[in-house]
Amino acid sequence: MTVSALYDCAEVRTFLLDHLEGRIPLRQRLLFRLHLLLCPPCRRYLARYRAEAAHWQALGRAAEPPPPELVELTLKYLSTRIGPPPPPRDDSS
Amino acid sequence: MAQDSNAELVRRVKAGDRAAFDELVRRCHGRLYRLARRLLGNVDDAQEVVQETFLAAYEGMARFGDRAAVTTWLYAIAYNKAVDRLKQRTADAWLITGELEEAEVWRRSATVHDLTDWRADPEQNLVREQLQGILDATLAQVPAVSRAVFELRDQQGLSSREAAEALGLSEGAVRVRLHRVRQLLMAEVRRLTDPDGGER
Repeated sequence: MTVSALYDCAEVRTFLLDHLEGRIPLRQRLLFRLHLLLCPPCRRYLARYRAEAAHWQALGRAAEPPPPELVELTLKYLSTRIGPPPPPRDDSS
Repeated sequence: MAQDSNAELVRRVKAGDRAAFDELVRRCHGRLYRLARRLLGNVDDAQEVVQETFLAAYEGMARFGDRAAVTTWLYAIAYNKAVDRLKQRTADAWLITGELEEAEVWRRSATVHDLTDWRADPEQNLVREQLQGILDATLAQVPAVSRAVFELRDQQGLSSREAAEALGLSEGAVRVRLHRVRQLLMAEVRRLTDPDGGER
């Protein structure tokens, strides 16, 4: 059996995300793995795909929060449109 | 004192607790702002969309059911408001809901994919600001819905199901768009950082 009889590289690259998330049926998964076994370029591609996705996710987690004054601006906007929240109750008396 | 869950805040808002709504705003402002900024590309429009989103949410809170998470509902409002603004800017529907494969940047990336040996790891040599620059510049060239999918899935960590609910897409459509954007970014990182284009 040749590699092309299993999947070609373009097909494998189309299925990558579904493969990583365990969303392809068993038979397809076996063919997919067999292709990877026989195809070093696709193995490297999969490794790069995984690594880069992790890079972007890490970048997202490290993103600076927006400036706090934007939250205050929004709260002020809402106060003018729907009224301010009542002042906190003074329970000390 | 333990922090109320979002569901508890919603219950308090529905019961007329105005301060609970401000707490919800503080909690959710950042993530909505990031989505709006990614879609609209500038601070002022993003901030206005976030303000309008919270106003609409407050006015519609009584109609909000218990089945969805309030954050997903807020994302959906913000996404629709941002898309409304984009429609005012352009009559080109592709810029909003088009297929990524029809983008010029995608066609260019196909060559990189064909020629690259993916053994090397260009990100190792890039600082965070460079990666962020490539990310921002690349996403600006893809349809808005693809930008939103990537922002929610790979930047804010939502699941495909949550992103699908927020954006009114099927889970399958979210995965296909996410996969395409990831592939595009692979090619763009390589093209912009490797003088040889990563050719074998």
